[in-house]
Amino acid sequence: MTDTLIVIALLLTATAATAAALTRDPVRQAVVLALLGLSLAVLFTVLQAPDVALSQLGVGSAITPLLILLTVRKVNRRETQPQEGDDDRPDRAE
Amino acid sequence: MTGRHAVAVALLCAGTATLLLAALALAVLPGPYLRLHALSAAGTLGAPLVALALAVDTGPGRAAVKLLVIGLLLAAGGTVTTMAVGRTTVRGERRSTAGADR
Amino acid sequence: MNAWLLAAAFLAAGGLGPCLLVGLRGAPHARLAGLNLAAAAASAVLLLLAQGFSRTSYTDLALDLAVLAPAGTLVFTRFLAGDER
Repeated sequence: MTDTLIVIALLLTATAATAAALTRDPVRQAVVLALLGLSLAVLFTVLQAPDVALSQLGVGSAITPLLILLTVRKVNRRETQPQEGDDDRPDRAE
Repeated sequence: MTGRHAVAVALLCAGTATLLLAALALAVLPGPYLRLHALSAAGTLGAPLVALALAVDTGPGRAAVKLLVIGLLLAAGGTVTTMAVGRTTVRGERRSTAGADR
Repeated sequence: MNAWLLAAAFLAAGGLGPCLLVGLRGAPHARLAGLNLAAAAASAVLLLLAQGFSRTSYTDLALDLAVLAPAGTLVFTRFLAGDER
């Protein structure tokens, strides 16, 4: 039973991590990283490591998206003054 | 004891079915607005039902109260985030259609 | 080998899987729906795992997620709403 759970959690984590590596746009990547944090937390809990899962939840679901989004906003603001119309690039990953 | 366990299993089945149905609806339903219905069902009904099932199974005591608090937090958070996601979806869709017109 | 772990396995496969499917494609605000539902499903999975392993201290994980997931989602919605202008 535990083996099944471990396999499921590993598959979820592998899918999310591959997608996180293949996504180019930082805003979309922040969402993917939050999803990756969730699946990693489930994986750690299944592997009986709740302390690691606790810190992973805190970092993955709140702090990483916040930092990425703040950085994107700052870079966009600086970029929009010299050149315009470059802020909605399509996602070229898929 | 067995009656309480039966109630807990029934609640667990209801909550799990709600969450699975919501996930299926999220994957199947077309369009961003229809998908929002799945969010509210899962956030306000599915997850608190699971927490309630675990609290019933635990029996009276501090652990059950903690599980009930978690269920209430999940319900409140689900409501708030569903409304926020709905507002963001409306704005995003409006902006993308306006961008298509331009 | 009990009902709680079985329900957790079902929820992890059938609940988190479609959420990943939706959350890994499309526009940012469309991905948010997947993220929100994934947080609800993951907290239910964590609660069920705590009961299934019969470790009551594991419920702290679900409590943590129930507090932090709305905060993270509100960060996203705030950013995506402020992006318009």
